[in-house]
Amino acid sequence: MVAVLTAAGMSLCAVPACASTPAGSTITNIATSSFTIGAAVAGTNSNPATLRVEELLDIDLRSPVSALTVRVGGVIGAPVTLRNAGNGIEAFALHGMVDSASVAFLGFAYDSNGNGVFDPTDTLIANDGATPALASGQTITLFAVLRTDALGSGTLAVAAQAVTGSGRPGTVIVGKGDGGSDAVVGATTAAATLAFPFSTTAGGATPDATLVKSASVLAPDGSDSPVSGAIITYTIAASFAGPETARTATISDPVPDGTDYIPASLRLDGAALSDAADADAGTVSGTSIAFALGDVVAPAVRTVRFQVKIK
Amino acid sequence: MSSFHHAVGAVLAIALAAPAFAAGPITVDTKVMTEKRSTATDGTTRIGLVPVTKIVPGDAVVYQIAYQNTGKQPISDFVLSNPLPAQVEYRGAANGSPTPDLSVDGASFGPLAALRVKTATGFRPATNSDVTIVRWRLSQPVAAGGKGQMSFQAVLK
Repeated sequence: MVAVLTAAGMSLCAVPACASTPAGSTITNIATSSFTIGAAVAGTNSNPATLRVEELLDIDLRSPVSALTVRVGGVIGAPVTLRNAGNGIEAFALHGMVDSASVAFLGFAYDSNGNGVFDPTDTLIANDGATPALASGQTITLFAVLRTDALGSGTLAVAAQAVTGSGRPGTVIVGKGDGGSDAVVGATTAAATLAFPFSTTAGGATPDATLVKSASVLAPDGSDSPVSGAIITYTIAASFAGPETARTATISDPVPDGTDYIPASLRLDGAALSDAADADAGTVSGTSIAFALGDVVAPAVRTVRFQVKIK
Repeated sequence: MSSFHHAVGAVLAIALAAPAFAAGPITVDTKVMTEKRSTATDGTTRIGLVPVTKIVPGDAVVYQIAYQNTGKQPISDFVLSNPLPAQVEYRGAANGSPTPDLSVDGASFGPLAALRVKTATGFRPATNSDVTIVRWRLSQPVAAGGKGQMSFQAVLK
């Protein structure tokens, strides 16, 4: 017995799926009769036989997935659909746990925008919290949210149970049903558990990238001697191995002590870049060089270059 | 919750709309019963009927309709009719009861197999969930003091 709340992302049940007689309602039966007595037609009605319908507590918990793969550093939401299979208005308590230190269970999220996919903007429900109150037959999509911290494997267990009560079918919770009725635990025990085996993989939110830096020296006399006035050309090859796209990748390097940056010497994959902080990727700020590569889809190699002159 | 209140209103309206007959010598008494299994001393399982104390959707019930002629003269053309509450689905005659005639429209009565339900394109065979009235007609008069009981099985939707 809980207050009504409706929100986006919940689908109201369709008839006849939710044709269950509502908890707290009364059903009255009256029989009628007619007969002939002498030459007259007469009739009479029975007493009203009235039943009060109690609140049935039932749950249907399921998931479209049976196992999870999570990349180290990644956050995912395992989808779970929960249907109020009872005939009353009911909220369900949620509990999640993992049996491996490689993964942290962050709680639940409720698919606020109804897109069926876990988004960071979905409303969070802390672990051991409860769903909003669901009408009879109403289904909501939830996500059990995991963050992977290390390589490993284990099991995510998700449990849900009617807030009013659960347990052995037929258990009566007096006076706790809708409309002053009693609550009665149904065949599902009003509680359910799902288990998701998971494994973790390397990579994830910090894609593998390597930088190889090389330098060539050209002295005023044409030799490669690092003498005053010699020009050093630095080349940095950045390899993005993936598997994921590197987001807002940046290569930065200081201008070495004892040298001066040579203006207009920035190159990205052979193309000249301006020194100013503007639309192109290169920026020189004091004694620091930076190349903003944006999102780099792996696998890829990006090569940057700049020059300095030895003081 | 608002739809529930409307449903109750409809039930009461039907009750009030029942024909206002003159009070006669017949009494009709309705009870709602449920099966209760118990183990007899010889180890066999007995199924008895007890009044319903708690009901939830999916529960089976037996409606018992008892009648008695409390007058001093016989009555004839006796018809006992039970319009089904909207949330109750007919499931069949109960053990020991004469088989009732059924109706899906209040106009034609007969066994379920003889009933049809109109659809957009024609007719389809009726099922238990289509039944709206359960009815018995007695071919013999009921003598003064005579009584009997009809019953049928149903389930709460």
